[in-house]
Amino acid sequence: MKKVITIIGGGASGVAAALGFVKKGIIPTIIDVGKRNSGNHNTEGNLYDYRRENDLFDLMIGDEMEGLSNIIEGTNLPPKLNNPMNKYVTSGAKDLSPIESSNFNAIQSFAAGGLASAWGAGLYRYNDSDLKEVPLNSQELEPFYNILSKEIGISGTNDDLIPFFGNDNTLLPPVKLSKKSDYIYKNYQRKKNKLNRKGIFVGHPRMAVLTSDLNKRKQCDYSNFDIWLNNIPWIYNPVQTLDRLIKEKKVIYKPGIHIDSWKRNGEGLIILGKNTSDNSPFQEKTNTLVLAAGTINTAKIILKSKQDNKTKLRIIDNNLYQIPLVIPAFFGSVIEKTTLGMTNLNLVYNSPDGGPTLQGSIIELTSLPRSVFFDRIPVSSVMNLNMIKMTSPSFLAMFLYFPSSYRDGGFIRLAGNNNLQIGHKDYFPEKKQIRNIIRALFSMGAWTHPLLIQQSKPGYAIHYAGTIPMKEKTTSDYESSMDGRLHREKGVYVADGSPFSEIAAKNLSFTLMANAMRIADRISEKK
Amino acid sequence: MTYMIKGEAEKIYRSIFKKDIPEITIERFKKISERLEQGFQPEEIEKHQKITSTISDLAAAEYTSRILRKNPLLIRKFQTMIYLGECLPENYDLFINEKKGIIKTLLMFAVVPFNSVYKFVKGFLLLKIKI
Repeated sequence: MKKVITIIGGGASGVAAALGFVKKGIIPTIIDVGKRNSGNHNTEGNLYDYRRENDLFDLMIGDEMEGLSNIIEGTNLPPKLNNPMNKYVTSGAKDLSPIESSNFNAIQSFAAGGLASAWGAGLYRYNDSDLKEVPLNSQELEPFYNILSKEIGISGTNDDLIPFFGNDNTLLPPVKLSKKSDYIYKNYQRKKNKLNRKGIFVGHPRMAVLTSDLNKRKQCDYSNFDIWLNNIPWIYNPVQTLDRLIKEKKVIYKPGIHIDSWKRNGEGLIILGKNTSDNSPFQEKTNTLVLAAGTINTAKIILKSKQDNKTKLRIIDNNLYQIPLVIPAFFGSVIEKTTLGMTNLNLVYNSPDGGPTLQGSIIELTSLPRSVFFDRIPVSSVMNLNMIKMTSPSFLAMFLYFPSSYRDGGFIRLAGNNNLQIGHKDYFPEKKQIRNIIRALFSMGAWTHPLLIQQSKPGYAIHYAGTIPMKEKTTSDYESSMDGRLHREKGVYVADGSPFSEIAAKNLSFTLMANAMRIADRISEKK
Repeated sequence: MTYMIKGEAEKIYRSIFKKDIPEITIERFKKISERLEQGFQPEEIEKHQKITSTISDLAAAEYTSRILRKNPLLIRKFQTMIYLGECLPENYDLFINEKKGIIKTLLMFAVVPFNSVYKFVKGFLLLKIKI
């Protein structure tokens, strides 16, 4: 029987799986809701030159007040998802896949490119210690990391973070540090021996940000528009690969379709869904179904196909702390206009006491509207405005990630009304490690205060995983095998974050992409 | 109603930016206000209207409310007005520092605690007496 490959989802893992099939000479079909932005804002040059001359309303707030949704509707979206140009990334999710949850910040995307259309772009290889609870080793992923690295263009360097991020010879030069990040990095270099003894390591991030031209994409121009615009050429978006594959006729792409289940048809499968334009039913035959719809939506498709309203699947996400940083040496300084308004440095805390390895992304905030600082500065409005002006050039933020496994995870189930329910207990506050990190940051010239640190609601990190754990030998209907196959389901494979029952304190995206490609490779080898 | 929102917009804008509000910002503020108020009970909206119409130093009332986590509609309207103000190129210099000013910053740090205490007490008393 001829193999018909159908991938559900055109996000990071779906596109990586497609690339895996294409490398083997197979033309897969990608079925995707595939929302796209209706046109980017026409901006050139630098954000600060632009805003001196132009009204920012369309760019920052938008006619539908998208940029103020956190204030108006009480949503909890990160800045990159909370602006008019990127609003399409999460639009329609509430209707297509309603979620009931009071304590989990579930964010889904039905956009072409998925959540990676507005990601933080940190791409990290997992090493063997990161994969302890997954029956995979880093060597199996290595060739796929390398292929993807060439496709994406990852900047970084082999520095003190090699033990955590691996040695990578495919890296482009690292992103240019902002002055504040450079200040911290130089202080780290001076005090390195002492800090390393305390388990603190600092280095350049591995970013899907081009620092030299690649595949007709331009290198980063440090214009500070990073969070404001969509599909910036120097920040990798899986859509760039998807569009190339469509243009080269190496994939068949069917957008505007929302798949919600499959059913068996003899030896084959029929996938079922609807056309999103008119809600008319959609169905298509296949014999190899690759689920890459994102951890939450893939779980829903599987539960719906099995008509299971009882089983609670487990779900995990990184426990995330947002730590505001002030660099007093930069009080009253002129705002730096040419920076990358994203992660500039990574800090790894490898506790000498043997605790979990933590990772912090130190983020430059020059891209953000200044107004975001208003409710973070506890002074009256006029003084507040002066404080924003004179002190915000000294601000950075660190997103501190903790690893996650089932020990501190939550659950996801399909309710009788076909809505998903997600429950998650609050994370345990990790005071001791945070105290040690604060001290280390202080010695590098970055100040903060425990009262200013916010522990994010579960789900905010948007690194969802663990619903369909990968096992060497599967025993339950909700486990996947080493080649991604769902237990007792011939021809159904899972190729997104779902198989990872543990996530390290670093972004899973690169690893789930490499794994999706590995699964595609395995499927292609099968007769 | 429209007149009230216009007056409210003028008052909030002036208390933050110390100048007159442009017409376009009034229009934008109106739209946002309508959306914002949908999430509040009529009595909360009534209280908010009383605050904005009777209290002269709205900045003090907002600051006290923010610290005490009261009057969320007032706090959110101030937040939105900050964003609306930032959109305008004419306010660029109010948000963006282009001249080194360490002395100015240090002086500001010296003044901030006194100003904050003064504004908090004033806002507290105004809300207590007038609302």
